[in-house]
Amino acid sequence: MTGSSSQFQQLEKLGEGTYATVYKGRNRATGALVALKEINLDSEEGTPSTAIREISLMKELDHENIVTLYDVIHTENKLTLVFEYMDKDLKKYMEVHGTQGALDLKVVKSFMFQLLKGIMFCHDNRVLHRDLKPQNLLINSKGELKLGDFGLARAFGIPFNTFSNEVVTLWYRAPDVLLGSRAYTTSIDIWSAGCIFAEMCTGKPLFPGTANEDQLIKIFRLMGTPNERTWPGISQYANYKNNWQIFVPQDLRLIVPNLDSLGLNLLQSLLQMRPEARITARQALQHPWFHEITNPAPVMHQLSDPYQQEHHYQQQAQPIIDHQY
Amino acid sequence: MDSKENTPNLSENGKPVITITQISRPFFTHSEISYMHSQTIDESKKLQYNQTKYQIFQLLYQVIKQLKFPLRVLATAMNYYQRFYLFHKFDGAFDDMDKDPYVVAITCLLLASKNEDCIKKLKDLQSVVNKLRDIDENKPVTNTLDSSGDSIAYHELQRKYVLATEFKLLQLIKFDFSNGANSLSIKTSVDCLLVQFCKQLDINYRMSILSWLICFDIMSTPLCLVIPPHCIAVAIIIISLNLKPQEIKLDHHEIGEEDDDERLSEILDSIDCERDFKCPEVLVNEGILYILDYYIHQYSHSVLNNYLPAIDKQLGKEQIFKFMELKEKFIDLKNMNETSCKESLNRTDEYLSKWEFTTASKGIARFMLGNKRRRFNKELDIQG
Repeated sequence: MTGSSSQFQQLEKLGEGTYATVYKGRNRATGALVALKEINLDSEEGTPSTAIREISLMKELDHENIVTLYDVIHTENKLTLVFEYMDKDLKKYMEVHGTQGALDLKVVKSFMFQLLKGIMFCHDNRVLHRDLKPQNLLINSKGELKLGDFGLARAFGIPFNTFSNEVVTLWYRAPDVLLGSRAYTTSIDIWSAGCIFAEMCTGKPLFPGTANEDQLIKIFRLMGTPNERTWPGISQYANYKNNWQIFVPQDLRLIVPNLDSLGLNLLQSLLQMRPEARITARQALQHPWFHEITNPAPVMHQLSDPYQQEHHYQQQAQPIIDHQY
Repeated sequence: MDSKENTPNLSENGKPVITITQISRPFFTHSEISYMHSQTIDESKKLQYNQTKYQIFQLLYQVIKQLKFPLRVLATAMNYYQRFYLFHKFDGAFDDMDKDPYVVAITCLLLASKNEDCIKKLKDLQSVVNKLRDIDENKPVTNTLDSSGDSIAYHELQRKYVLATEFKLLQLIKFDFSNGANSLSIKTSVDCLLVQFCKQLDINYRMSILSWLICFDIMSTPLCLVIPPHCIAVAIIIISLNLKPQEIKLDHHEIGEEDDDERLSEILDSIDCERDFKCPEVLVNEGILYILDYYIHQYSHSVLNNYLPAIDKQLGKEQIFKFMELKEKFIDLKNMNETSCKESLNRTDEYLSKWEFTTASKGIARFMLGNKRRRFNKELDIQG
């Protein structure tokens, strides 16, 4: 898309990824904001397969907690994906609105609920996200959280070879993946959700590892070093070592002191070492910690969301521009 | 709302820029397909188109076998190849890479492998294809993309053409990677669906294999441009259960499945396309009639021919008569109504005309994704 000649006016750059650059944009006809993701074409391989997977998966994922892909725009030598505009990602949101990054528990609850709803929808539609992290969770001015960046996502249930073990960003990567599992499934997204949950409560990443081995050790330090007794079959994993330093499991309460006991129970269920012991997104949404959301009075109205006032203002001033652009 | 809008926009220097907006239509009626072919394939080239298609599909089959790709990559590549020539002129000029159907074939395989998540380097795909075609890919050739007339290695030039063709192909499939299955919960490949449905219906090994063989034959036909994959799968199962051949040349069999006759009839009677598989009956019927016609006309060239005895024992006649008998039985099935696809109407439908690639190179081609198009109306209101 050449600058201002198109349907969309290109505004400032929002970010740069491995295979794309994202700009803020405006639809000339409606004035609504969009995110324009410009795809870099590879001179050896053509259109990146990540772009193709993102288009093919996101086109079908029509859900309130998943960023909407509107159009694909094709000009002479460029490919641009037009997405729904979101104000900021969760990482930025925590920096701006958190107390040293830590969010109010009511906001955490609302975000976790929305995150799990988005994950459940993906999993129900046989899609693994594989790269959940605060930078990929987008927040708009209404306090809505949506999953974005499906470049690494894949449809599961149609195995070909085994999946690559080089996916999820290290900090949010599940221990089974770090151990070299190539047969992982929906549970890898659940582990990431657990890490994000703790990070929203404390403002600090839970397991900020620097390399594969370091990541594992950071996990063991908190969750305890696994062995054949606590995790039958662990010695079969490619990256298993029998000389790991032995750590005993820590109490999560010490790490996330501001979280109530129900919340800690949910966190514990998400952060299970053994993939098959991890709770599913559907089960997690029914966890009692969410009862105030799932039961009668919707929590969204009482949210002490810093955006809320802005939101009220917007509702009065510009009732049209939200989902359509 | 028309599916294609030409909206002049002004560029920075004041010159109008053409924008085309399209929403993918994954399926076409038979008359739409023949109308589109009448624009892209000259009458004199029809035979060559079919022969080339047959040779190329044979080649693609060898390639996916060598690369150990699953069958769905082949099915998707064949789908793309046939879709390509609905919108793009077929010249059949093998010596000109710009028009070479083999370049199109490699491109289809490349995009299919990306979409089906079985990624291989383009270089490797080229190398397998060129080896099978006995082409020395390192030989120097004139760089037809460059006016200097310098020479370049064959595979280098081929790669440039493949990448240019990939850009074309993406436009021609309208960036729709779903192969017409409009829900992610529906797998897009007929062979995967078939296995799943056979399991669901508890159909025995012999009949499942028979279905799979039919699927293999039908995969290379344009039926995938007409009805969605789950409808093709159900049509195949219904035909298999009607055929119920006594003999199939197989290496393996399940114990006692020869006595399954009655049970299979019960399964056939119990199938409800809409309830069990969410398939509109009219589309399944369309598939049934198409497949029977296919075998009536091409049985001797089919894969199935290698697995069934020449003479059907029950009927005492050649197999082809069995398909004719079935066709008679199904003759009254209600299939797709094409009255709205007269040639005069097709001519006015811009979606069906040959795709103008210059639009995207001079202006903008915008592809809207089907399930998000509701909000497009608002945009039109404002522009109007």
